Formats: sequence, structure tokens, C-alpha cells
Amino acid sequence: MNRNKHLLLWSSVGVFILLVMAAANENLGREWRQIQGTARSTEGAPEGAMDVHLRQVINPGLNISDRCVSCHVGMAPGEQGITGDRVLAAHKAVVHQPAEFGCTVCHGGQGRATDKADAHGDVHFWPQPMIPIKYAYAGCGTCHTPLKVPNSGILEKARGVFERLDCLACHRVDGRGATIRPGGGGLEGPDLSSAGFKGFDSGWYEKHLKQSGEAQNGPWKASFGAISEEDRGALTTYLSTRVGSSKLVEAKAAFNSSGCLGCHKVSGVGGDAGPDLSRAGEKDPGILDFTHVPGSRTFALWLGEHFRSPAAIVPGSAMPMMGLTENQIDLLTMYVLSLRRRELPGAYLPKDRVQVLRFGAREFSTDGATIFSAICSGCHGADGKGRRYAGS
Amino acid sequence: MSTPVIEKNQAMQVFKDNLRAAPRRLLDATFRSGKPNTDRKRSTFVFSNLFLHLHSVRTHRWTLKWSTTAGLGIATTAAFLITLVTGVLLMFYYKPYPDVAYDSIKDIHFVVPTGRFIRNIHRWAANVMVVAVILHMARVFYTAAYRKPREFNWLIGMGLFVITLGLSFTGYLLPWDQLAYWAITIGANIAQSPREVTDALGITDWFDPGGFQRLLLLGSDVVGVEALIRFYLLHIMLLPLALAALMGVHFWRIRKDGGMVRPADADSRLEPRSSEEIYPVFTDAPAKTYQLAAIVRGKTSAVGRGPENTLPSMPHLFYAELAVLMLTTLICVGLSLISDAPLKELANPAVPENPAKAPWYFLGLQEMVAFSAVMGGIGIPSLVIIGLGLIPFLDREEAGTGEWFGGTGGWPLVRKSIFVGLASAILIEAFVIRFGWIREWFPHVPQLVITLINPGTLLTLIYGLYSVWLVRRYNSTRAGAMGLFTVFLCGFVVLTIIGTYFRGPNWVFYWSPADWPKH
Repeated sequence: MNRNKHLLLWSSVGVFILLVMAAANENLGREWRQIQGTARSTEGAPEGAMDVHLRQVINPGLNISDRCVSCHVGMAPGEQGITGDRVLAAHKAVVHQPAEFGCTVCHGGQGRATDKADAHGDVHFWPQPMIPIKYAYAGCGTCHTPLKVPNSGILEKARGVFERLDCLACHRVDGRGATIRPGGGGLEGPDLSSAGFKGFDSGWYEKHLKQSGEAQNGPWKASFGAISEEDRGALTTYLSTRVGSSKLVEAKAAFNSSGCLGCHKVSGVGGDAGPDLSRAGEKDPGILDFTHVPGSRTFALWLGEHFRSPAAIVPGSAMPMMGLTENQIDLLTMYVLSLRRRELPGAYLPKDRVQVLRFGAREFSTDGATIFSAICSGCHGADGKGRRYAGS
Repeated sequence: MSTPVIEKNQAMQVFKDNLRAAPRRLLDATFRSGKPNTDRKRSTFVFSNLFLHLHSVRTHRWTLKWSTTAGLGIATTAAFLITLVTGVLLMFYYKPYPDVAYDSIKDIHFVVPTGRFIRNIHRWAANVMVVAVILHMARVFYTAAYRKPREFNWLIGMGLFVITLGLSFTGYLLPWDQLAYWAITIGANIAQSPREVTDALGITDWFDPGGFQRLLLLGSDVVGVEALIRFYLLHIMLLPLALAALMGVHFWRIRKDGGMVRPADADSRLEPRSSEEIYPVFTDAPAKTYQLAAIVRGKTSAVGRGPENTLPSMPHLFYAELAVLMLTTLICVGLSLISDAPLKELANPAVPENPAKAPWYFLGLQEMVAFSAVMGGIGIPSLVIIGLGLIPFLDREEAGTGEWFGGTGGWPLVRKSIFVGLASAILIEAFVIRFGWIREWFPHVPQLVITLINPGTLLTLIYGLYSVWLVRRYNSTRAGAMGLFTVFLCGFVVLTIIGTYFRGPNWVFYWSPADWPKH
């Protein structure tokens, strides 16, 4: 009896100790508590703000419960953030308010998690880790798809025309321009960064010309003059690709220059020789073979190595070595990362995606040069003189 | 005028006295037999308490030895109680609807206070329960405790074993992750596997028990919301209720069948008690006569025999039971701190898990299912269940009851059977892994042939013949039963280990998961 009595006593004591340990660890020992505790005492923290509690952004419409703001507490709704701190800074100004759209819709990762590795998605069994911050604008692809994107050559040329005609004197695009220059005139015109998405007046040229003709002096008189029809076409191309994320458009232009659609499909358009890429950006790094990929196990790195030498990463792959430059690899990596989808309620479905999915709008510009470079050039070469791949 | 005033004061006085006495009377009413400071009062205490009176008031010293039962029955009960408490707590947050279910488990894991810990305990206690119930069954078998008059309780115990597995299996689907989804898909296909036979006979169109079983399990053609609701209902209500009811019967039968099994000469084999431990039990005059003895089964109660070898259940037995309860809790809680319950990706019907593995205790079956779903998943398990159920009715011997490995053959026979059981299972598996099976040699052979002749049925046949040989060799059914139970236990262990550790994608043999192909 004594033996059982002691067994009962000591096992009870053991259970009690373990329970207390677990309770303390599960409630008080959480990473976000420590981070918020530090945030309060950091220099520059607003007085009385940032009290320690679990924070989240909830949007039932988007089915998100994003607890990212429990650590990134400066980005929590109602907080001002600490400037200069990587973790605690406020979010930069964006069209989609983090307070409504949360974090994971754009950035990926696991919003419900409250531990760093889990939240960033760098764990087993979470198929969608965060999009690397370098490619952050690939996240736009979750809901949006830039339409009518030409190939790189046409896009560069259009940008050149825009810069050459000094539209930046009055207009702001992608964070540049509309600075009043001393003596040189200049004016604060509308910001054109989202002109392609919001739409713009097709009679802008006539209106500009009229206003310039009526002006006696000042910026309108000094800065505006007649523009050739060819240049106007280039400007229209440039404006219609201004959808708020220039890097993603550039990436898509690189895709439209590489003939990928000759073999691959995106949103129902393209060849059948290779896999459909419509949702290629959602690929789970957990199921990828990293044996031949140096460095960390991220999908972006895997993609880069894959573009360099497809068959070395995926044994037996029929995809040829494309001979891409580092810059092209970077852009194509970004574009593939942007090929993702999310179930969205009607109210959140953007019109560009609707146009592609419901009305068959083309994601690439439908001029002949772009069609050729996006589809045909994969086999026929950029100039139509045929193409031979290394080792084939 | 004066009289009523006095009465009024008296009434007030009585009221005050009653108020003062209320706490004491509350205690009296609660502990009706008074402070349990004598054996008599302790006995009354146990006797008059609904929850305690499942125990007899006195317990034999043989029962209290750890080697008698090793506390395995209580450990199983304890594990069940732990899953019950943690399960109810989980139900506060769990939402039984596809996708939402997965999110709610994530919430339990990340933001519900100690939710992850409670879920871990639930999972570990469920596993401990399965292990404990298997060990408990083995203990009962090897001490020949299933024999008359305990045959019925053995059957109840088998029912409890099956329900325990059912509870584990239904709980497996609830997280709605890849692991769950594909394990249940396999389970549903096993339920459908009688089609293997009906298809071969060409009668599926008008006689399809397989399709019916699958529909009954899933409530739909696919693993979806109906299946989840169904499994949830089974997991939280029907099976626990059935388990609790059968547990009640199981415990009650232990008392009615004469308590824990013990050898006929148990009294003489116990060490004599030290002199200060021996004291007269019935110091007070008996309050009742033995009229009830007329309907008590078995040998009459302790009339004419001294109660020297029994001890009051309170506190001796209760200390032992509570110690096992707390030890089981300690194990579950400790494991929960070390290892998290698994949660894979959200269930995705488009991306099959490969390999999709059932819970570990079903992997032995899955190993056989790889050859023939209907034999591995339904035929052989049914045979095993029927065989187990028949054992107490075939073994009517008396020698060795209540002793470990008691009966003809004894431990040497069990040792020999362990060798036979392990060797034949390993050899057959090694042969199949090295040379393949009929399908690899003759690709066009009808499935019916493989259904009848496969490693599972072959192993069952070998085990069966071995057991028949034992019956003849030792001239004892107990010897055959002991051999059969041992070899099946060994086969279960071997197949489970191979299924758990050595099977990879497409159920191909690999020495280690590191050798699995990457795609």
C-alpha cells in the first residue's frame, strides 16, 4: 500500500509540475509577447500605444485571420509603427489597406500562425510560404493579372517615349516625376501610376493640345507641344500597362518576349508541350526536389536554377536551356511566382481577372510583334530565323 | 399574549441552532457513513457510493499485486477519461465542416489558450488507450482469465477493443488535412472491397455489399461534408456512449464473476502477512444476516473462512487505481510536451498523399490490404475477431487459470511461438519484397486467385496449421490457443513495423524515408 501511495503522490506531483510548465509556456512564453514587450520599450515608440495583446486582421469575405500584426505590431490597425525598425515599422502606403485586406492575400504565408517559422510558412506541410520581399509585387497575381502587356522591346520603347517627351514634368508615375523644377516650369498633374487599371480619357491628347493652345504662358505653354501619332500610340501602350506594379508588368513583358507560351498555357492560352502554368506560382516547396539546388530551400531559388538548366533540376525535363540573362531569370522568376489564384467572393473579384476568366481577354498585348515573341519565338527564334538550343 | 412570544423565541432559537448545525449536517448527509476511520465504516463508504460500489468492499491481496494485472485495464480507462475531458474541451472550438475544420484546428493550435497542448494530450491519450487495450487483452489472455465464468466479459472486452479502434479511426478524419483525407479514402475503399469478389463473379450490378458499406460510411460517393459530419457524430457521441455503456457492463461483470482471476491456491502462495497487519475485521456485531448469499453466484461469501487475505478496498485498492490513473496522465502529458500532434496540409482531393498511411495500428492491415483489400481489410480481421471470440468456448481447461502463461506448454511454448510468429511473418514479407507476388509473375491472373492466395492468407494459414499442430502435439486446446494468440500478435507487430517504417510511395519497400523518390 505504501508503494502505491508514494506512486500516487509522485505521479500527481509530476503531472502538476508538467501542467504548470505547459500553461506558462503556452500562454506567457510566446514569441509575439516578447516582441510586443520589446516594441513598447523601444526608443521612438508612441507613448501609451502598443499594449501587449494578440492582434489580428479579420476579413470573413476574404477568409483571412491574419495574426502577422501580433509581431509586426507597427502594421496593426491603429498603431503608428516605429520608423526605421525592420519588424516594427508601419506598412508603407498602399492601395489595398492592410486593415481590410490583411497580409497573406498579397504576401502569402500562414496568417493563422503565431510563431515566426509557421507564420512565414517555412515549415513542413504549409504549401504556401511567403513570397520573398524582393518579389513582393508577384503577390498582386493572387487576384490581379495585368492585361495587354507587350513584349520587353515594345515596353522599353514606350517608356523611352514617355521619358523623352518629359511627361514626368507634370505627371507622377511609379513614384517619379511631378517635381516643380525652378525656372523650367512643371505642374502637378494627375498621378498616372494606375492609369492602366483605372482607365484614362482616350481624348487626352486633344484636351492637352487645346489647353496648351489657350495658355498665354506658364507650364502649359512651356511644357506641351504636338506629339506624333506613333509616339501617341507608344504613350497609350505605356499608360495602359501602368497598373500599380511596374516590376510585375516588366516581368510579364519578359515572359512575353521569351516564347514560353509556345509550350506552356497560362489562363487557357498557349501550347500543350509543357505543363500548364496558370497556377505554377503556388507550387509547394515541400514537394520539390532540391538535391541540385544550392542554397536555401525556397521556390524562388529553385525557379532560378531551373531556368538556368531545366534538366539538371528536373531530371528528364524536355524544356531546353533558354540561355537567359540573369536579369531575365530574375524577371521570369517573379512572373512565375505571380501565377497564383485565390477563391474570391464576387465583391472582391477585380475586373482584370474577370475579363480574362469570363470574357476571354488576352493577358498579352495583341499586336503582331508581341504575339510572335510571346508564342512563336520559342521555336522560331526572336527574329523568325529559327532557333537551336544548346544540347538539342 | 405572553405564550406566543415565548414560542416565537423558541422557533427563532431552533432556527439559529439549525443554521449553526447546517455545515455539519451537510457533511453528514454527504458522507453518510461517518468519518471512514474503521474498516467497517470504510466498507460502508464504498458500499453506499454509486461510483465506488463497482468495487467490492474488500479486495484480495492477490489482486493488489502489480504482477496480477499491471493496472492495464485501469490505464485504458484512465486514457479514455483523459480523451473524454480533452475531447470536450476541443469541441468548444472545433467546427465540423470541410476546410473550416482545418482552420479551426489551426486556431486551436495557435491562439486558443493551451489549445495545442490539449490537442496533443487528446492525441497521445488516444494512442496510449490503443496500446493499453491491446496489452490488457494480452494480459487477460496469458493469465487465462477469459475462462469460465468470464467468457461473456471476454466478449464485452472484444467489443470495447473494436470500439476503441473505431473511435481512433473516426477521430483521424476530423482535422481535415491531407493525412486524414487520404487515410479515410483508403478506409472507404476497404469498406468497398467486397466488390473485389462480386466483380470477379460478375454480380456487382444486383448484389453490391461493398458499395453499400462505403455509402454507409461516407454518406456520399466521395469523402466530403457528409462523411465529416458522420465521423464527427460517431466520434463525439455514438461511439463514446457505446464505449461507456459497455465499460459499465465490463466492470460490473468483473465483480459478478468473482473479481480478478487468481489461481486456486492463491491464498497459500501469498507471503504471510506480518503480525501487526493482522487484526480482527468484524469488531462490531454484523448488522445483517447472509440472506443475500442465496442468490450470489459461485462459492458463498466468506462464511466460515477468515478474511485474512483480503484488504479493505478503501484505501488499498483506491491508492493503486489512482496511482495508475495519475501515471497514465503523467505519460500522456509528458509525451504532449515532447511531440506535437500532426497536422498536414489542408485536404486536397486533387493531390493524393503518397504513401497515404492509416493510423499506425492499422498499418499491419494496410500491409495486407496492399495485396487484397477484401482479405486484408475485412476477411482476415473478421477471422481474427471470430477466433478471439471462440477461444473461451473452446478452451474449457482449468489448469493454470490466473497464472502468467498458465496452462499446458507454459512460457516455453509462448517463447517457441514468438519465434515461429516472427520468423514466418518476416520470411513471407522478405520473399514478397524480394521476388514480388503472383501479379508480378503472371500479369493476367484473375484477381480472385490473388484474393484467395496472397501473403496475408498464406500467413493466416501457416498460423492456423501451427496452432492445430500444437493442439495435437500438447493434447491441449489451451496450448493451441496460446500459440495462435502469440503468433498473431507477432504477425501484427511485424506487419505494423514494416507498414510504418519501411513502406514509401506506391507502397514500395524502402529501408528509410531518405531513399524515397523526390517527386
